[in-house]
Amino acid sequence: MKANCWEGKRSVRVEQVPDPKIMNRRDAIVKVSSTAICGSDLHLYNGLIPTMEKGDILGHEFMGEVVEVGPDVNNLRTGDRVVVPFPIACGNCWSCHQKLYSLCENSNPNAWMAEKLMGHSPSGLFGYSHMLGGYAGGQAEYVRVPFADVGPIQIPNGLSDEQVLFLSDIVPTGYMGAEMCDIKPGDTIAVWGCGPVGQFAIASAYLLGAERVIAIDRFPYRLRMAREHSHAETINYEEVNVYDTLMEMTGGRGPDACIDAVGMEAHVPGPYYGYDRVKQAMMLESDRPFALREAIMACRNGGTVSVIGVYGGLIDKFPMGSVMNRSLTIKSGQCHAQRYLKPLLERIENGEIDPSFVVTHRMSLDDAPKGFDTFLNKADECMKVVLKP
Amino acid sequence: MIIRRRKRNTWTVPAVGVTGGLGVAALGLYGIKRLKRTGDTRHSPTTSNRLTTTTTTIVVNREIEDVYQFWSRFENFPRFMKRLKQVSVRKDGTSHWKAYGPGGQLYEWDAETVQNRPNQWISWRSLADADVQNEGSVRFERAPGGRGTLVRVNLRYSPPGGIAGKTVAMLLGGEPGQEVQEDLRRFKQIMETGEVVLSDASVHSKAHPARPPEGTFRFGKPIPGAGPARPLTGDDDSDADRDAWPERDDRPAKRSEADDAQVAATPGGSR
Repeated sequence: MKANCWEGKRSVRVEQVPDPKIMNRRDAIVKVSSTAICGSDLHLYNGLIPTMEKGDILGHEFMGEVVEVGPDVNNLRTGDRVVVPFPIACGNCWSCHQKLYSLCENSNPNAWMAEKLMGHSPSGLFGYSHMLGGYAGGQAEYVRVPFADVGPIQIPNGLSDEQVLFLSDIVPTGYMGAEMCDIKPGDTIAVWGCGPVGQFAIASAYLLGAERVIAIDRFPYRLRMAREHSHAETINYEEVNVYDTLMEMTGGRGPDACIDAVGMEAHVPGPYYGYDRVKQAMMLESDRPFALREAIMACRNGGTVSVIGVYGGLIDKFPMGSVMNRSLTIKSGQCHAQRYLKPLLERIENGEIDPSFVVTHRMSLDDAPKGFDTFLNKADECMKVVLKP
Repeated sequence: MIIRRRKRNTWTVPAVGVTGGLGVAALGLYGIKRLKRTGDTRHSPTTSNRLTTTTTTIVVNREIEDVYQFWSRFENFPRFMKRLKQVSVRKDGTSHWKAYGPGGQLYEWDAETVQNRPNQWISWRSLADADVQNEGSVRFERAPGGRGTLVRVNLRYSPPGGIAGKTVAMLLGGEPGQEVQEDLRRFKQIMETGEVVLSDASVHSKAHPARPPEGTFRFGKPIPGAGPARPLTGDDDSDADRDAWPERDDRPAKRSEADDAQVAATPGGSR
């Protein structure tokens, strides 16, 4: 089959690879009908996530048709149309019982690698480094889905691929980002990053009862989407000082909750960018936490900072004094996507949300390298690339 | 009593370019310190009296009775202990063990059960003439809050090849404590999910990209006594537990055991 493979920093290639096989009794094989490039794939593309191997198949946002099931998969049959959530979760361990699916204790065969770096291991993920399992990803014609009796959700006919594909990651991730803010009526929520996850965090914050949502980015087309689709107020951080503007907008109180939908590769105008960029290049710091620092400083006293942007390792100059002295709560996590599939699918079926608005580029899987390049450089107002095998 | 030597050909935990990969994220002194992590109390091998001692522990989300039952059948050990090839138990209670040494040689020895207290404690040791002198014990405790079973394993053995052999083994990545920890992780996977969980890369003995293996692949048969079991009763939120269990519909399973054989016979790349 064809698959998009990681070749090294800033290099992916569509290659011919062996077809996936049923390797565990609870596996299924899915014939991919649509797959997408995630912003977090760009961290892999930029070589910032350790333990990648040349030839790894990428991709953790995908959906398609079940073509084969293992003997212990009783909830799916061949021909079923499914969306597959990006964390691999067994459904049997203590973490899964607590619905902390992205912390599954059994799905990462290379847990020891993650333990060395993070103390404990999270779950395995599709196509996201060997430290997180060494699983082949879904930017391919076929993909093996472990624990197929737990993850995949069946999709009724009548909904298009683009309406449901993003249940695999970015819709529940944005939703969880807003949910962690514990939004009360009248709340003002600020969202750093207006990429696809940021867009869904903004929409979800309104859905969960926020009165005002303030969106922060530097690309006019992304801010425009936040304004036009979700009616958010926007701040372009290259034009104004974010902290000052937020204080001005909130009477000096600050947003009730702040969502970091940017993560480890943030940008910032001025000398601080150079400082962290150099440290990152010298591997003295793995992540550039500008958005996170700013979100902490801006958040109102006693507020919540919700971190859904991906961080890989260590950060520098973390304003812990601000967190402690001002009673801030930090909540974070890779999305426990399995939790949200059913309720969010219902909202899509009811017409409350239609995630397809983020799609700007549709390409063949063969053009994956071009898709990565376009997305990385934000060329052609790129927001989301969907690949068709 | 080395009966025969032969090259090792089982799969191992992948090295997966740890040196190259993790090197990318050396992350300064902090990272280096963490990666070495010599003072780990969960698995801290020490050498005394020429026996290497390793203690490891893990929590398994199963009732203590189930965990004890599975462990008390020594024949099950090779399912999760990577270095073991086979354990066979005789009618008189003694057992015969075959294991691979650091260089891939096959070692064999006889062992006896020393103590066996149901749901609490099992200990065993090699008989006097064993080439690889070793002894082991496992203790089972109920985890607080009804959260399954704590399994504590203690292994003491004279490394094949003596101290030199042990040093070579550690240089090759086979640090004894880490190895037993990985064995226990596989034990947990079997008890909780039903089998050892495999990824596209982890089935290979050496570093391999995360892409499907070549050729055919035969998945395992059901393991008696393995998971998944019903959720434990003592968990904090029993409603959440029920919700967390995937809903199964009543349609018949698509595949039967007869189909399994067919899968193995189907050459890869046929789609």
